[in-house]
Amino acid sequence: MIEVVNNILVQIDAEGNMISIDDKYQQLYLNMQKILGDKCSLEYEAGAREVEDIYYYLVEKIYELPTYAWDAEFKDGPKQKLNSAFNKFIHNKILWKTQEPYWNNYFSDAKNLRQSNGKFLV
Amino acid sequence: MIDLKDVQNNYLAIDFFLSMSCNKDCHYCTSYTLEQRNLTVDMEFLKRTLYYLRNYKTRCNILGGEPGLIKNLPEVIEEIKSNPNHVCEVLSNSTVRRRYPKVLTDPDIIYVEHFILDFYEHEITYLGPRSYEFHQENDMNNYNLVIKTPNFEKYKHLYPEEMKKLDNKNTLWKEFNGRSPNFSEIQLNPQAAEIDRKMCAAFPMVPVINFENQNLVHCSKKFANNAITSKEFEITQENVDKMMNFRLFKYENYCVTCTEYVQPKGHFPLKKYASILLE
Repeated sequence: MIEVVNNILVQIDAEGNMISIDDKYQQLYLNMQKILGDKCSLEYEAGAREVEDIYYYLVEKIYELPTYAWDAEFKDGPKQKLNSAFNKFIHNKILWKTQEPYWNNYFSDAKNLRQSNGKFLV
Repeated sequence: MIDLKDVQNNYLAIDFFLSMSCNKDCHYCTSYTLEQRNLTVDMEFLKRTLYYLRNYKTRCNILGGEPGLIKNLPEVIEEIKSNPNHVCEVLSNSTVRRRYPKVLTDPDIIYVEHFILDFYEHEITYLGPRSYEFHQENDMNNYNLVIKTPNFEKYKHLYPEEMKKLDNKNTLWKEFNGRSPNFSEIQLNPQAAEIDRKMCAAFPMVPVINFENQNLVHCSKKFANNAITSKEFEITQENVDKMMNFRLFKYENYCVTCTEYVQPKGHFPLKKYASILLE
């Protein structure tokens, strides 16, 4: 899972070890904090909420181009959706090698395949 | 009086392709036919479309084809201007200046003119009469639009006087065929980054309302090039609402393979998205 310690993102593995996370994700987190303010929360479950494609694109764009996040003021509804998209993005990116986010059909399909023939086909 | 910066920052642009007919055949243009057809706009369709857009800040770009050929253009412009949420922009090859000069004196209409066809070693070729001058710096919202063609990059240094005349706030510079920032970098095949194409797909550079077929077209580039038919939608209140809230257009197959130039910074600043998402 991913947690915030001293305003820094860290990954906690199954044995409770803290693993540092790439600076680009730290930058994304800071940018999202700037845009979302107190609506910015890091929750695994928040990513399960489906939102319109545009929110995923905005998060990806802010990740690719941090300066894109300059002084934009979203209303409350879009903020919550942006937060969901952010959670899905960051959990998918960071946990992708270690865990399989349950909301992602792509992963659940792969899981079914693995269970059926004993191989991980991704 | 309207302010171009305000319009660029706060309004969503939609192209109104009134007719594909044009009286010129510029080498860089893909959206015209010399056949003179559909020169009278169906006002019932226009009124219905504008009614669906009534609550959205919309920049209605009148083009085609050549809008100067439209017989009831003043009526069309008046209809667009009747809603304070709508801004009317006319893009012409100078036919509007000749036929409907009142458009130029109205500061509430953004008038953009492609007056220069191209630059050559011995002359600059113009689309209109030589007696027409470039628009000087003005507050009437009349703009020169200069396309940075390969010849522009090659020969602009030969015309310092003209370049000086164009060097003002009323000149807009457009990239050649929208593909590349300048001639030396023209490459037809490389693609923009996937995320830029996705954002472009969500609300394309400008969606099109096609007055000939009376429908809504996802992408003007694919519509004009006709390489792959761009996705079309019926004009209904539901579709317009979805479009203006970024829910109608998806990342299509032709977006996956698109090689048009897409702004790396996203063609919408984040501030603009924030102001448009209404919920």
